[in-house]
Amino acid sequence: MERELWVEKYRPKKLEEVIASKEVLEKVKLWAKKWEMGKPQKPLLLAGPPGVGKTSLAHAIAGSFGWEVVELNASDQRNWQIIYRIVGESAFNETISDEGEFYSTKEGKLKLIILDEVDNIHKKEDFGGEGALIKLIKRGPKQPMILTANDPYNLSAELRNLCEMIQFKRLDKRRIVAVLERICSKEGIKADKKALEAIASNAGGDLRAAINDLQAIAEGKKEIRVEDVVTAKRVKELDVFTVMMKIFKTKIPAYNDVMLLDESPEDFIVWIDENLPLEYKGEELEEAYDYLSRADIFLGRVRRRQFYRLWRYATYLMSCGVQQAKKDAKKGFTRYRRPIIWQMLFQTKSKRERLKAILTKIGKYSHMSRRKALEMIPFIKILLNQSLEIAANVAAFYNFSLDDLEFLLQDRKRAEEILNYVREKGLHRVEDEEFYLRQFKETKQEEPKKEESLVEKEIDNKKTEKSESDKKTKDKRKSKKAVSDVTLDKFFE
Amino acid sequence: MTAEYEIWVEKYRPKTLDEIVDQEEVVARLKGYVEQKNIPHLLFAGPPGTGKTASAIALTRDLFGENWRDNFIEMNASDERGIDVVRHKIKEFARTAPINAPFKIIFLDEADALTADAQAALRRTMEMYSKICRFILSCNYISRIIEPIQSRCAVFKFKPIPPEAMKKRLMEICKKEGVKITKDGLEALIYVSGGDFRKAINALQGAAALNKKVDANAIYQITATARPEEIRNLLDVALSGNFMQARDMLDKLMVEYGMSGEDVVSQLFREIVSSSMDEKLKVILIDRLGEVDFRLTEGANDRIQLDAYLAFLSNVGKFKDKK
Ligand SMILES: Nc1ncnc2c1ncn2[C@@H]1O[C@H](COP(=O)(O)OP(=O)(O)OP(=O)(O)O)[C@@H](O)[C@H]1O
Ligand SMILES: Nc1ncnc2c1ncn2[C@@H]1O[C@H](COP(=O)(O)OP(=O)(O)OP(=O)(O)O)[C@@H](O)[C@H]1O
Ligand SMILES: [Mg+2]
Ligand SMILES: [Mg+2]
Repeated sequence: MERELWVEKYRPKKLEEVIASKEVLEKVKLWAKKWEMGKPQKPLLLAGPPGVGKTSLAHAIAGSFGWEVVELNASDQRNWQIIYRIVGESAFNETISDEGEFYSTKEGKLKLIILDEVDNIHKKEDFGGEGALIKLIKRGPKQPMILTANDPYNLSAELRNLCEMIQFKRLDKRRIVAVLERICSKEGIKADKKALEAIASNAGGDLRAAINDLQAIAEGKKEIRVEDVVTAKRVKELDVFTVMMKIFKTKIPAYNDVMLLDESPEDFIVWIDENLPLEYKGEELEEAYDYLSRADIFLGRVRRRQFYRLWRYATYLMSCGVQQAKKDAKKGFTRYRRPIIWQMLFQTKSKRERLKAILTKIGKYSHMSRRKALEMIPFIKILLNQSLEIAANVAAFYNFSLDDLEFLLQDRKRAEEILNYVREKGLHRVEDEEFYLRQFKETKQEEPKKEESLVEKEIDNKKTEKSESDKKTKDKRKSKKAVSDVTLDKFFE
Repeated sequence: MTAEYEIWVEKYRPKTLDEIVDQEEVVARLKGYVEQKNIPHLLFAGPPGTGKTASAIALTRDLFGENWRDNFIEMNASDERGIDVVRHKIKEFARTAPINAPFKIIFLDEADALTADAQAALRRTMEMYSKICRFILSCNYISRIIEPIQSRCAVFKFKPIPPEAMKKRLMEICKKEGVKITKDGLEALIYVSGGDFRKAINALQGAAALNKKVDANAIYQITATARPEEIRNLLDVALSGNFMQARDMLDKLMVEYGMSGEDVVSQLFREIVSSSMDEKLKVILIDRLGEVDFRLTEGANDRIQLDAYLAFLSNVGKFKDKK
């Protein structure tokens, strides 16, 4: 059986299949449309970490617009002769048909020249390649051209400035999970969401890595569970300790190093915050912290408005800003510390979303906005850690799900226990009961079925509450109340 | 089995107007409406935890009786604050007919969070469907409600619950729940709640769950309020230039008391203002604190903003000594 790599099998063929911000997609579309209208545009420079869709986007444009493709990548030699020949010919000569006839570009299709991985044009092996490229671009190519690079700052400023740069970000976990889910369903694999989340976390924003890991784990299986995900942590290109050392000890701009980290800026700033005072003192410390504080403001804006573009300012300030705040380079060895985890707690998106869901429930049943509901959380947590009965009542009152409870308690087993108790006792909210009651009123004539004894009993309770005529049930209620009083008393002894 | 009210703020949430504590004027007028079986559009304004939401619901129950939910929609404007909500969801509900009642009630809780545009979009709806639909709006800050809306409503001002009334109610709750509370515990409750009933009841329940006897200590702990002297210490240590120690103290406040950045800033403000340090230095500290407070609302990570403030303090302090 033919074995295809899923990363290729599922490589986007059309623009719409590429995962990118709307902004990027719009920009690229406009760029391509202008070309179609015969208006030459600056070459695009797609920059960003591995496996986030740079190459895919380039090809997808060609796919969507029906352009031909000429690609030169790091696997090709790219010295000045070759660049002139291949790129020069495609960009300036008219299109050559398969039969070897010449078409003018107007009648012929456009041809997209993809210079993949340009930051890897080798100084010796590819001698003169970059210079040749610059010269060609300056002459104004007649065909669309796209360059890609992991680190655009490895290119000369001249080349960079000749292009329109589009910065790619690590993909966020949720989107990676979505892609994995889609692939699983196409492959007919039943996947536990938690397993996919684990794969996605491990990938650090690299979709290619995630898809590869998924295939390694899932191919040929019908089902995957969390336990199956034991892939080793992917090797980081640069580790945080090295980058911190560069930031704290030197003044050599570390912006790009931070960009290449697996850590998102939101996570990385926590590392800087933790370790900065180990290196800087007094005035330096104050100034550096002012940059961190401003970086954090940009992060806040990204978080609230999804302006991922602003990440670069945050990244720049937390690296170069902090670096420039010191007077001289620092010497010696410093043992850096891991940030305390509690700080990281609310950083990840899925956690924030879970919290939001919880706050919505609290808000609904305690009549307050999510913002205000936040102040209830500490008390609710306390109650959830009391006796099972109390915890279950609280859980039922707020209609908490298993995930909600797990989030609040940080303890899956306890969460399950509580929910089981809720189910066993059939705990539910008052409105549900009123709902049953009203339904019952409407269908009074019918004999209640045997299985509905639970409903029946509740209706009994409800009736006595209202009319207080049925003495027997009233007593029953009383004794029930007494029981709960006892437990409470014992509780607060 | 119906879930019991384990959450005391809910257990002791007033169900009828009679159960509302204090706010006598408000309650008297609202009861008048119940007698007439009619209400105008209402606007409840006042600080948190003083009974606005509770009164709105109690009023509706008193008016409509058992099936009050059929003709009542509650929306938290702070969660859904855009103009589209007003133009669609609210309007839609406003024009559907009431069920076995002369009108229905739309309760827009925390309406001061509605954007000005959204409020403006509400104006015609309040008028056009007023035959079958009445609005109750609540807010903390009446100045954030645009005048055209104010003018369409009867305004009710809720006041912070005075200490005596609050003490009385809290003692009742203690008795019913079998909680032992010390005198200073009760005083601490009054201090930390500042007239906010919800805060007081929550603090009481939290403290009671964790302590056999509720005293001042338990209350400070549970309400994420640092003792005044702890904040003073933090300030002193930071101003002496010892950043690391100050940061450890800050971490302790944030982790152990669960204080948010906002909490810390508010208490710092109180402490700086009432401290005996040089007045000029105070102005500098407060000025910068204001900036920190602002950045907290803009930023993503409270600790970084507060660390930055501590770094500033530890530097400014040295400067002060030299002088
Ligand atoms: N944004 C994306 N949208 C859809 N699929 C993607 C995206 N990013 C990555 N993929 C998946 O991962 C594979 C690799 O992506 P791609 O080749 O575009 O990465 P790249 O950004 O060019 O990385 P590198 O810098 O390593 O060349 C694709 O074949 C596709 O399956
Ligand atoms: N006047 C009051 N009488 C009795 N209980 C009250 C009173 N005010 C508040 N409470 C208690 O505090 C809880 C919260 O009150 P409520 O929801 O009415 O506050 P609110 O005024 O709407 O506050 P916010 O402005 O924060 O929305 C109630 O459930 C009740 O337990
Ligand atoms: Mg690529
Ligand atoms: Mg309210």
